[in-house]
Amino acid sequence: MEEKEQLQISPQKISGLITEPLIAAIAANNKMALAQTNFMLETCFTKNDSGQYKPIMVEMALNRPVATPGTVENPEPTIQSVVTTFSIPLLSIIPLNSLTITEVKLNFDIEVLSVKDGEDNGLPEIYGKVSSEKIVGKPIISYAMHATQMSLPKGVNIVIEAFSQSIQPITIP
Amino acid sequence: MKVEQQIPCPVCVTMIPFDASQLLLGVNFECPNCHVSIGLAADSKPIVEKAVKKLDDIKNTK
Repeated sequence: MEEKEQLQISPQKISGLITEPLIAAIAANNKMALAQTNFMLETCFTKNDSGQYKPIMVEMALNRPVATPGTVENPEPTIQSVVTTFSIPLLSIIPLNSLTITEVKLNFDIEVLSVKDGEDNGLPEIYGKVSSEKIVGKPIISYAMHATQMSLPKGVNIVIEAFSQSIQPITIP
Repeated sequence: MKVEQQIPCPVCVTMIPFDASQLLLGVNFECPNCHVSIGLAADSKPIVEKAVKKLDDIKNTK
């Protein structure tokens, strides 16, 4: 307990205080990306004995009105709703993008405690601690960081796009 | 950030925006160009339902 309290009040490099929360967010994002990949492979694909993945397909129903011209006996044209089923990969209809971190907002004040010569590049390193209150006469640096995360990785989008395009109609000669 | 999901229309290739949770509720989505509607076939509902639930479980554990 004593050690924990000492850690809390000991000055830290400000660069560390700023980057550590972002590194934690990146690590969380990586963990989610891994979970997402596992989800894709386990839920949207089946794996055969030779280790090849095959997409799980789902059936979609397409409704379209078809007009039938009238006959001699019944001159009134009729319109019927025709249902056609087609298969698409499960992967292309699952909302995968919602698994990523979309925004990281960090707001905190750092109380500057000391400035020392840097060990690596000779530039001065500022040491401080996260401050919960502003004290008159103490130098404070306020940080408001905002980081955003892109949605799905490009590679996953390409796979989904390839699957989506596979349901597009082709012309049979 | 919610990215809109889209699927190409099997008739005219125009992109049809849809929502997976609405698909599961039986909602049909209409092509803005040729006005055909697409929906999830009843036989496939359990497969999609299971996948969406699994995805929700992963999200809820984060």
